[in-house]
Amino acid sequence: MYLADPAFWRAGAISSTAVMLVVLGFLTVDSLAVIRTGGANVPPYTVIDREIAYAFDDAAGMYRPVIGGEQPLFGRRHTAPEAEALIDKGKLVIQSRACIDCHTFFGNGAYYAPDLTKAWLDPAWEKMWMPMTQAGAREEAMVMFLMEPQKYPTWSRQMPNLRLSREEAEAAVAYLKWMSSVETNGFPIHFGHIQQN
Amino acid sequence: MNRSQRLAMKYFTAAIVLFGVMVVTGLLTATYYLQDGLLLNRLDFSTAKILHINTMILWLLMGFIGAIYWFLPLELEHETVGVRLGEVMFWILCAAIAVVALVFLFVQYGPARETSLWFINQGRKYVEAPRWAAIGIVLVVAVFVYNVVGTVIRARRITGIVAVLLINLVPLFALYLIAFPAITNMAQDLFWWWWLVHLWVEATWEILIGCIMALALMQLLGTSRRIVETWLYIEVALVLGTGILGLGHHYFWIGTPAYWLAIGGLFSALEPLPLLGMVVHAVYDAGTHQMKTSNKPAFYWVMAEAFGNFIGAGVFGFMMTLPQINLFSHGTQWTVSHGHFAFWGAYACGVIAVIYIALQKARDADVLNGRAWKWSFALLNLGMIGMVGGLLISGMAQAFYERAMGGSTLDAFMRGQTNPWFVQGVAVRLAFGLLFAMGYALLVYDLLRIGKRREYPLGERREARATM
Amino acid sequence: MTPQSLLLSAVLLGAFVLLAGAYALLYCVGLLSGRRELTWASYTCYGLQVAVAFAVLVATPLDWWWKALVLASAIVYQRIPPVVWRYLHTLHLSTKERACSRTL
Repeated sequence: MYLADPAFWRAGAISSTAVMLVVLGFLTVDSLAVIRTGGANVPPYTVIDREIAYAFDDAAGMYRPVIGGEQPLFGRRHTAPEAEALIDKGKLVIQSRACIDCHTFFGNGAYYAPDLTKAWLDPAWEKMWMPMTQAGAREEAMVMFLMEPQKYPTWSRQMPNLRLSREEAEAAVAYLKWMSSVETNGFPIHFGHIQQN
Repeated sequence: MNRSQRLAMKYFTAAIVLFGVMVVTGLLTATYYLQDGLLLNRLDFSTAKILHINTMILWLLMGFIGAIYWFLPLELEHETVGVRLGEVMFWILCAAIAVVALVFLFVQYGPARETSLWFINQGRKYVEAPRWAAIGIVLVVAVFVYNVVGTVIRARRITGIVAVLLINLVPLFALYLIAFPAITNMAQDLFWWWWLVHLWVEATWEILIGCIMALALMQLLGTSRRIVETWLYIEVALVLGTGILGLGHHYFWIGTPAYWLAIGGLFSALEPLPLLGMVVHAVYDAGTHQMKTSNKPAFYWVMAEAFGNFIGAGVFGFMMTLPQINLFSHGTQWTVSHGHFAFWGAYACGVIAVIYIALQKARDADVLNGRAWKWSFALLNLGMIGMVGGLLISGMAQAFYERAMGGSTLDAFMRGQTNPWFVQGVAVRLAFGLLFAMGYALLVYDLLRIGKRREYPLGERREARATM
Repeated sequence: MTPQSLLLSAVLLGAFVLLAGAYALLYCVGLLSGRRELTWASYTCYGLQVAVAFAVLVATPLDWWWKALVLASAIVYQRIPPVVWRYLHTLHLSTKERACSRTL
């Protein structure tokens, strides 16, 4: 019987793998276009000078980032090359300090520290850290916290001091702001809104 | 033992040592959740975790490489070509691992410059090793591929299993190159990173362990080549048929298009089906041999592989894979629970089985049995079940309180982490982790002494054989 | 999706596959041992699996296509143990026949 013939299953293995790889190929080409910087789901780096929010979209049936009006980061406007350099640096900060081995980004990483996908939008910056640091703006509070987390703890599990320079801390904050503008199909769900049972 | 098999034994030894480092760093990582401020700014959670997950990948890889060095000369009836070079690369690999680990421990991180990525830490999960070491791994694997290809050519012989192995080594090797780039755009970074991680552990590694298990079953149970080959092809068809597009279950939330929710969810939901087939096959093999084998520990670890794979990857995976659930479980201890159980069942049990198979031949023992391996088997598996059970409770608490109710902010995260269910879950995890560690210690003890020739009075030897 | 329905749905989905495994295990061991009570136990597990699938259909807020997938896969899960067992048996028999015919 042909089902007992290894050659039949060998042909099956080759064809099933080939078909799936071809489909993956097509989907990859399409996905890459969507996720490139400036693509449908990923705003250009100059979004760091815009207001970013996260709200429920009735048409889409899920939470989506909302890009608003001007909101220069650190009070200064960045040209496209400046924004790119800043975000490049931010990613180098994240990698050199292995942030992903305590935190998650789009839910990927380690689970000892909070997810950072929408960290830019966290109410704690305005509620807790701005008063603690006496900073005039959210991004300033973020920078001060990142540079000296031991000075501004908010609970008993503390963030270590990773010896970030001012420049590095600003780059990391810019990165977080940019990241919060990425379309993630509604993750994390209803960020910042507590569900009443 | 020929030279290739002696090299295999070196790889197995290194694998078990790294397994031990993984256990110790695992216990440490677990303790941070229960002891605030532990080693803060001296040895932070991230460093402990990096050591834990990197040793996991390395010990399993070393187990795979050792298994191939062990079986290849038997399979192709020819000594492995270039085995001396393979030996050199083994020592280079061990030295590199030691240096990288010491740098992780004592240097930890550098400034935000490319030089930090080259020499200290690349900061991408599982592939944190600095670029110089990543190049070293590429060279080691390249020599390994040369060993396998060269032997096939020199022996003028190829079998179905070796053909699958060879073809599989190409993507396995190529995918590792994704460990090198530092891509600014996190969506793109993770997109490619998942090609490496998923198409390793849910595709090419599955084929690799499938080939190894095929070779192992021929030795362990005397199963015919035709049967293991047929089964291997079926496995490849089903595992890659579901696993390649199952990659999409990592593309729900990272900025990729929404069609991945449907595609990834669908193929991921189908992934348990081949695993159930493997369970049936395992029971069939056990039954047709009436559980009789001259290598009891290997046999039991092969059974554990089939069941652990099904439950850890299949059951635990299916629980969290549908997008509507995953939206809440993604990036919580729920993931950790599934990950630990899946890796254990799919790979760790198989590598341990192969080591016992090799040991029987290496020590020229008629029968491998005893008490120590049974205790080690029980403690390791119970320890694992307890750990993933505790993590499942914590993960569900996290999904419930932090995500579903709390809105995923820092405040919600804190509330989730301090919730009594969560805390009890991670405490249970540590307790069972200690059991697991005891099982590991017994495993080492057993591997060091099982099958070694001892002076038996004649009557005792016969008795030992009769209890098989 | 309320927090409660989240956990309920996940537990049902896990139970669904776990019961498939229990059915397969008991079915195979029942065949090996010839003990009918094990075979009946296996069918009971499968019956529970179908009940769980039904619970997924009526008691969870999953989208209809995922519910359809669960129901469809319930049918496939039932077929896997007998089909794979019969296949392995035939495979072993045909391999033995080939080996015997070669030695003749």
